[in-house]
Parts: sequence; structure tokens; C-alpha cells
Amino acid sequence: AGPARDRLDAFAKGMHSLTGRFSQTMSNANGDPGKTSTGTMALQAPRQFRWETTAPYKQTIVADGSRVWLYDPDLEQVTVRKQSSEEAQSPLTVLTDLSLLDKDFKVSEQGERDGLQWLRLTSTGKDPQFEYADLGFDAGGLARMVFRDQLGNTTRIDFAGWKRNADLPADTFTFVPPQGTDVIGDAPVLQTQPAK
Amino acid sequence: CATTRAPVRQPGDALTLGLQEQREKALGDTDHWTLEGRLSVSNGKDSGSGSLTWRQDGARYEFTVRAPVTGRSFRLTGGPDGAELEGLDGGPRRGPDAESLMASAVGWQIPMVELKRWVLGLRADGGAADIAFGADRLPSRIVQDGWTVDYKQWDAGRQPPMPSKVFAERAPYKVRLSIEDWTFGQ
Repeated sequence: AGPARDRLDAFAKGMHSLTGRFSQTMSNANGDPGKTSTGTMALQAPRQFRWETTAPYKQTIVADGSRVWLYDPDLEQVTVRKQSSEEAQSPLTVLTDLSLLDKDFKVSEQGERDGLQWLRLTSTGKDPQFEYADLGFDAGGLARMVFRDQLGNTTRIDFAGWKRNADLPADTFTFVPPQGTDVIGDAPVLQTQPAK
Repeated sequence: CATTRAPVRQPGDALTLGLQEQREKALGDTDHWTLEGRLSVSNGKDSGSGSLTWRQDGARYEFTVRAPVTGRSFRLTGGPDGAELEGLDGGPRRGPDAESLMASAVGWQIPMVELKRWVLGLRADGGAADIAFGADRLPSRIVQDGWTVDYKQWDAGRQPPMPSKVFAERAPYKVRLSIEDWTFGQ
């Protein structure tokens, strides 16, 4: 395999959980950079995921393995929907399940740029959400991701402070809507009587 | 976080209605602006949300919603000659106007024409509107065409003040905007 793939394999090998900080910048097709948001993220095999934006606004996304919860305090709303397989295969969750990589993506070395070794993932699915997802690696592992969608808009995410296989608090991948918040979508039916 | 006190909704009086008319005169033909923030649209069963960039250039508009995390985007563009929605599986879709296209393509009910006025804190043209005001003499609620539009927060630091949180509802539909940035002019 090539240099970037080697770094991916080394980074992802034996990894079942990952936490770190992100800085995400969305720019549009003619490249003028939009807003940057920062926060923390956590991943755990096989399909659990938390994306906590802390600035310039607050937003919490938790994929608990069966549902994806999105809480936006400014909008005073929680939306919840079944976690689709398409979400599970997003380029991010590939990190905790390398077998997904070669199943769902075509992978190609892009060489060195900005001091990182780059790997390009293009989806093999029928209606790919993205033109491509580029993963940039430094010695410490995945340093940057760039998604380019079908409208030419790009999202760049820089990562820092990786902790691999740290033991995570039990509620990292669970979400309970705050009292009195508007919840929309298919929340699990709360068990009224204890399961027999 | 700050305890949310009950919203003040005083019926209009000569003063507040007068101020509102002035606002509507001053901003009425402002049609070159860009709004940036976050949007959620729901029909009670499911919902779509993401960061929003809404650019209004005269009668033409570009309304881009980007999903969180991956930033996958949907773009609605158009003007008097029709509307186009791009970014959906299956490729671009076209329709006579934004409202009917959004309803047919994604099942979202967004009163785009009226929302263009409501987000500026103005009553939409035509059709009666009930309006109530807050202690700050700015609109706190507009009820029009079956929609209840609540102004939960204003950016009073601007001149004129601009809405920063607009929640519109016509059961079962909800359209909520948290506005981080306004830019006016070309």
C-alpha cells in the first residue's frame, strides 16, 4: 500500500474508540471560506459517534448505534431519526471499522501536500453524497479531512488531541433530551413497564 | 442558561404600530441581503436541519442548507422564472416556485415568500396580520396566513435592530431560524 494508506492502517489498527478536538470550516464552490466551528468528537466501534460543537454556537449530535440525536439549544429543538446505514458508512466512522473502507470506497493515494500524506476516498455507492473525501495524515495519524460534495462545496475538518482507546464515560454515546425541549422524529418508545 | 421568561406580547398601540410602519417603510424594499445561521424545518414526524446561508438579490435568491459534520449541501435557487433544487439524490429538480418545489421534492412546507418578510421583522404583503410587541417595542409575534411567527430574540445592537431567532409554526409544520449574521447591500 502507499504512504497514506500505511498511516491510515497504523492509525486505525486495533482502534475501537477515539476522541479529539475538531475545527471545521465550510466553504462554498467559489472557495470563499465560510464559518469555522470548533468542538470535540468521540467515535466508538461499531457505529457510535458524538460531535459536540461548542463555538461559535452550541450543537450536540449523538449517534447511539440505532438513532442519531441532534440537539440545537438555539433552535430549542432535538431531532431524532433512525441511524441509517449510509450514515454508518460515513468516511468518519470508517476509522473504527477499516473493513468498511474497502467495501464502500475506492481508495487512491494523492501524495504529499501541506506536510500531510493524502488518501482520497470516493464512494462506490449508487448516489454518492460526496464527490470525494480526502484524508490527510501526519505522523500522529489523521490530521485533516476535506469533503467535497456534489455541488462543489467543501468542508475542511482539522483534528487535534487524539486519544485512542481511552475508556469513555458510559453516557458518551447516549442522549437524553433536556426537560421541556421540543423533540421531533422517532424517539424510542419509553418502556412504561419494565421489560419482562 | 438564562431562564427564559415568558415572552411579552402587548397588542399594538399608536406608538408601536407607528414604529412598525416606519420599519416596514425603511426595510420594505431592502432586497439585497444575506442571512447566515441555522435552520430547522419539521412536519412533526421528521425534520431537516443544518447551517443556512440565504442570499436575496432583488427577486433572485439562493438558499443553501448544509448538513452538520460532513457539510453536505442542498441549494435552492430561483427567481420569478422558476426555482431549482440541487444536491438531492437523483439530481437537480425544478419547479415553478420555491414553495411548491420544496413541498414536492422534499416534503418541506416553507412559506418562502412570506418568510422573506418575516425574517426581516416585517409583516408579509397582503392578507391581514395580527402583531404583538415586546417591552422593547419590537415585534414579538406576527400571526399571518395561518402561521404564527415568534420573534424569540432580537439583535438590538444593530440599527435598525434585526431578528436573531425566528420560530414560525403552522401545525404540523415548524420552521426555526437562529440567525448569526446579517449583511446588507450588493
